[in-house]
Amino acid sequence: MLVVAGIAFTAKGERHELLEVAKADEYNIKNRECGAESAPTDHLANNNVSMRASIAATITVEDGKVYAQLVGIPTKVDSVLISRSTDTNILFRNLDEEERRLIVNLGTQKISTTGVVEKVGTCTQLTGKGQENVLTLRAAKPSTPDQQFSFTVPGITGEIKLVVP
Amino acid sequence: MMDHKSQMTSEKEMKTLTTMKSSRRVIAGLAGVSAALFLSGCATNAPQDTWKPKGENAAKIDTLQKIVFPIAGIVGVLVLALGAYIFIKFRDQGQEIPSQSHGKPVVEIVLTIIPALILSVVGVFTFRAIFDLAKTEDTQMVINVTGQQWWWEYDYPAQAAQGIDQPIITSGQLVIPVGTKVLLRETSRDVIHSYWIPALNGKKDAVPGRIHLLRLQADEPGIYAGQCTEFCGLSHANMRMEAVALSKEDFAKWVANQQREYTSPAEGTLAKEGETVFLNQCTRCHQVNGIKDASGKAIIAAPDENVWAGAAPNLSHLMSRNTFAGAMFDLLIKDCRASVWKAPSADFGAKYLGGVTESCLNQKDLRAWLRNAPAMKPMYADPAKLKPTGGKYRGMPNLNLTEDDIDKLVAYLLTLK
Repeated sequence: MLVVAGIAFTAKGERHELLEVAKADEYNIKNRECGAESAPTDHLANNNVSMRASIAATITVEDGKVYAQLVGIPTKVDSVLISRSTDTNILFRNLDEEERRLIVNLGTQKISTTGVVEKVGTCTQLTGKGQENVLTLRAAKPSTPDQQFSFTVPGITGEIKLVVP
Repeated sequence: MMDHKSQMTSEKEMKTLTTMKSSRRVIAGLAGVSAALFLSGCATNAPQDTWKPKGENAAKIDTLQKIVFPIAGIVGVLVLALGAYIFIKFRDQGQEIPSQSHGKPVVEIVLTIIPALILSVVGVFTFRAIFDLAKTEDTQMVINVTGQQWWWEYDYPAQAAQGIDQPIITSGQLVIPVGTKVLLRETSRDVIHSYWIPALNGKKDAVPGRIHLLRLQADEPGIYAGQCTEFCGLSHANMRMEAVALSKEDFAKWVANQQREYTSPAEGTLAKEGETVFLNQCTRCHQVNGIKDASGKAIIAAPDENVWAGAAPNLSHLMSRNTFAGAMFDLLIKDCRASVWKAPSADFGAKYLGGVTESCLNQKDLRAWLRNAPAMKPMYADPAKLKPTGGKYRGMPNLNLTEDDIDKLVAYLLTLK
């Protein structure tokens, strides 16, 4: 039974919502602002996260404020340090009434072939009250005084500083 | 003429003699190996000795192993002795096969209960130690540790309680204050590594995409050696690390030095020429915080474009460390290194903070490294063999520097105090 189901789902191909997201690259901030507005792909996932053992930090929105907690440290922090070129998973938890999304801003980069300067970063889908989402990032360049990185949540004042030495 | 019976007896004696000689050789060999193993435990210069804890968590492990090892040892000796007795006493000597039986409830129950009791005792102490080692609530300092083929990076987030107001990045040597509960948040950029400083704690894997926690605390100033303990490729054996514990006052001085702004060498010096070579050759991968090009533009290294894992050691304040190339080589010559390692606790900080001076620099290894790094440490750095990684290196390539360039670079690196 399991084997038959496995073969059937393999033959069916990748989940359509993942295909749509991959095609549109809607969560790359070079393609859109990742604001509070909703996109069709924002409601395709159930926003329940099971990969809790792999997160580096949790960023929570609660009572209109945003704060971060690092794995292993009980206190709340206002900055997260990750090392350069390292895959890092951030858990976003929305405890607010409205749907929210987490954005990571990784500065800008100049495309050497065209000279165009574009934003670097990504965002989660809209996440409803009590729901969670994971944002996976990899900062190829370090943050500098000229290129400061941050986590922001549209509609919420304040930010979490992202430090990449 | 020897009769048939005498001939048979003689052959049997010869065979017995040959067997005895062979057995003696095996026993002598085993005794030799056992003696060598036993005597290796008496080594005085063994910086990775697991029986000499120098910190709280290592002491917990030591306490546990002092309970478990004797129990396991007694059980092991008893089982081996009983086995040996049975093998010798009942060996085949042409005797009749004894009557065969199956099952003896009393023996089976006893042989189940005794191991269960022993394992329960061992289990109680083991679980208590495991939970104690996992505690992080009272952490006083946090350091991010990232493994990469074949070196370790240490990132210190800003933390006011430790006097760190700007992040610090270093590699090779982890510097911590004594008597402070330091939490390492470990991860990896490429494959699984394992972080182990035996004198300060047990080992913990560094896994890509995950954060694993390891708590260290050093009781007294000194250098504590370690080794990657998860096979991670070609130079796994050369992926070493050292934890340097400084008094709180000395640690504050170390922090102040790490946060000191970059100073470009004076114009017209060999070091200034070395800075130009560094800008042309090394900043493709290696960052020195604050370095600027001739036009005054800040230089950001691009290891993500050249190195498979995306990073290379940050060389800011390189000469404040004692090692390079993944702690495989000393930056200090033998005598200078010994004077730091063997310094009494009270003097250790001053010796370590003295850094690498020109007279103490291990020029031989540093120059050889700059001349041809892959010849010094096995790495995947042959440009002809980089197809699997899309042309990106794993390790430092041979840059084909001239001796003139090497002179300039050494002069420049010496300024990175």
